[in-house]
Amino acid sequence: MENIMAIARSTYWRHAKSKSLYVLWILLIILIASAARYDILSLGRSKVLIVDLGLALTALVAAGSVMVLGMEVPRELRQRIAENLLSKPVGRDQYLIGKFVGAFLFSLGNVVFISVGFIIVMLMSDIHITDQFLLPLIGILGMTLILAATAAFFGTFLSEVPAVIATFLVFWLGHSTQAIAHMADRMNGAGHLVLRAIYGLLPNLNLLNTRGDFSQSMFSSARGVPWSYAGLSVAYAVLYATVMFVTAMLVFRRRDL
Amino acid sequence: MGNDTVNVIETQDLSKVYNGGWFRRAKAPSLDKLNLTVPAGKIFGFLGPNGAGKSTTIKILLGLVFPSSGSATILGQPITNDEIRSRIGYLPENPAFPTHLRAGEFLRQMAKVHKVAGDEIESRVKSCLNLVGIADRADSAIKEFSRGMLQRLGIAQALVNQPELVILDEPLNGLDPYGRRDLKRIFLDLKAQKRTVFFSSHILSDAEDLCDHLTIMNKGQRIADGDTKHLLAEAGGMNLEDYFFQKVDEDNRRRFGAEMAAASSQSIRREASESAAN
Amino acid sequence: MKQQTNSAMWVLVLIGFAATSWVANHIYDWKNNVSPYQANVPTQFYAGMDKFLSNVSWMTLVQWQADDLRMKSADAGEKLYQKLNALTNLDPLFIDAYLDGALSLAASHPDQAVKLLEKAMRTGATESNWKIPFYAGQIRLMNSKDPDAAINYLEMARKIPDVPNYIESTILRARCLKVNDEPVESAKIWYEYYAHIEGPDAHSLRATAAAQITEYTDAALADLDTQLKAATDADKRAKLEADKAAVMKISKDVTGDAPVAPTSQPAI
Repeated sequence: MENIMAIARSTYWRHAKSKSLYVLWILLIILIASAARYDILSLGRSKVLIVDLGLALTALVAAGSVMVLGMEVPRELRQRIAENLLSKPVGRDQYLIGKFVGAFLFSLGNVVFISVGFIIVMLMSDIHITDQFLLPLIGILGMTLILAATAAFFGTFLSEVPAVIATFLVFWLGHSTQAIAHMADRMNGAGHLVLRAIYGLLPNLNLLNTRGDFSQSMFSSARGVPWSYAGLSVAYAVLYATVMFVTAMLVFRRRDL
Repeated sequence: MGNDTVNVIETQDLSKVYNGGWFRRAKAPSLDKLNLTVPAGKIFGFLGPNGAGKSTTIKILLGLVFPSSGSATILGQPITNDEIRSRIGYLPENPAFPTHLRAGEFLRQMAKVHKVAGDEIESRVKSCLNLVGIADRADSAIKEFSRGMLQRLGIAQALVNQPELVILDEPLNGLDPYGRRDLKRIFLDLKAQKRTVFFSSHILSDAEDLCDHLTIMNKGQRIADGDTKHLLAEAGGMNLEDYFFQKVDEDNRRRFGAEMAAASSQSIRREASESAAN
Repeated sequence: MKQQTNSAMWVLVLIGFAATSWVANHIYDWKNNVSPYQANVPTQFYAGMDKFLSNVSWMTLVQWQADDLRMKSADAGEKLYQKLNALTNLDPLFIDAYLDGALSLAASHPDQAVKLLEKAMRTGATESNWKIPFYAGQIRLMNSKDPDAAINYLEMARKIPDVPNYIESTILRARCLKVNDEPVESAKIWYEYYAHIEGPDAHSLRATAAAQITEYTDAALADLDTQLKAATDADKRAKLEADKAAVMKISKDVTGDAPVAPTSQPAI
């Protein structure tokens, strides 16, 4: 456990020490706040714009910061940093778990910071915030878990750039996997079952995207998702991330460094 | 500091074939049935030209690369035992370390990984930095280090756990003459403490000065092995550099001859079968 | 030993993936009932940014519409419909886009306007928004002059909670249009409604209805008198007399509530 936390701390601080990160945070919060200036251009929808832009940027920041893991493992392998560490009494599983925890904590820190800035902007714009605001954030963290596990998986056998591209593609396409389920629902018999099974095997990030529901429920009488939905979708994220991460560990155990 | 085992490293028919290419079909043999014995408390030189299989052997011993066949023990334990590595120090070839850390911070982290007792960590870190001559740079960021300083830091981290066996892959690379002198002194100190130093190198003059025992590798096979003085005396008192070239050239000629013989016998067989068919 | 552990873990991974597949499909089936937004999440590759992109698309659409020159072009209506369709693909619950878009299209392209509103109805947005079927009804009533279709939509709007009272008068207008605003039949339609008004707002609703009925009865009586003067056939005269008596009765019944100006329709 001590080894895992040491690796996680090192991974976290390696990225958190970057000064450009803090500049980026401030710029993003300014960007969210600037949406208030678009009231006329959007025919009075500036509050909706603030909420939608804020949630979109929070999701992007979470995904972007967790993608570093896809780059982190191959980079440390290439630079022989991992080789040196793994020649010590540190298991490969411990190394990978440490990297995963570090990257996830880094992403979590970024999400917390952006969210705090985002809440301040909402309060300044007279947007009433309820506890429902936690629902899309929980979904974003669920997405982060899946992406971190996926990045770890790709990082175990791909080099830096392909691993990041592959993780980005999962982020991009993972939000549209419901197209397969829709296709399945138009079919009968074996075709339906096969497509539904394929749908289930893919990382379905759309199940964790409740940003639209939150925004919709804030500015219209439409109902948002219940807490039970958020709970079940996060349980799915934990399960998927665990399975994906164990796969990454098994691949990494067999790899020549 | 005593070693319970007489030989700290033993390998039996250790082989490694790397699989490359898109479908991992391309075979690149790197190690061919290597039998190696490293006696305890000695300075052991592991020599060979590029591609001889030195780094592969070291990586197999440290569990970084998996052997295709054969077996090996280190400090009397199978190499699959992760815990044995707490008694080993290792310096990789061209080492790199987390650049966001300071030298002292990094060594403390390595000491913790080796489960060095909390109250001992500071003294160990200081003594290791002193030993490699960079004590004044303990608070400097690693990213500011030159190649030679990185090499010194690498040696320090390999010694932070006071290992029974130190494995160093090309430790003299990147060091200036002062660094090489310091490193030689460290090797001799370790030997005096009955620790084993196993290192690979291209710098044959230093190896000749330091090594009690050496193995010369070529194309994945051991081509010479024994007590340094004894080997050189047997070879008519030549120096290690001449001995090395003689052995490697001989082996290359032998391999070339064998390949030619195999090729010509193949061609004779083909011609014979063609004429029989006609 | 390690090999055996790895094999066991591979088996666990396979079981794990089967479990995730089951859970994902379970959530997928459930989410359609959870919220209208979940049921309509776009399948295009927007990386989950669809809601934000719909806002950007809305702003560009507003600027595009504001350009008078463009809106004067012959195919502006069709282009506007296409843009609105693309926008509502990004956010199928973008109510402003449906409503404002339908109003912009109503005069020149009523069919496209209603098509857009029907798309909104399919998303489940009508569950909480009566304006969508109401606007569709109004467009069919005012622009397409299709009372049957209008009544259909207006009846849908009537079932949605929080729909305002004037939904009834709009339905009655549609029913009157169905009989070509014929004064006697129209007066009867309104009277039937008037006779059944109950509840806390009954007084004001009756006044509104009475004003409308009076308009029709006045027109009906004038019309019937003209027809009676011209009629020679005994049967026809008898029918006209009966109609006149019925209209006079209606007029008399509503007189108490009568001199109240009819409430104007909300501008749409």
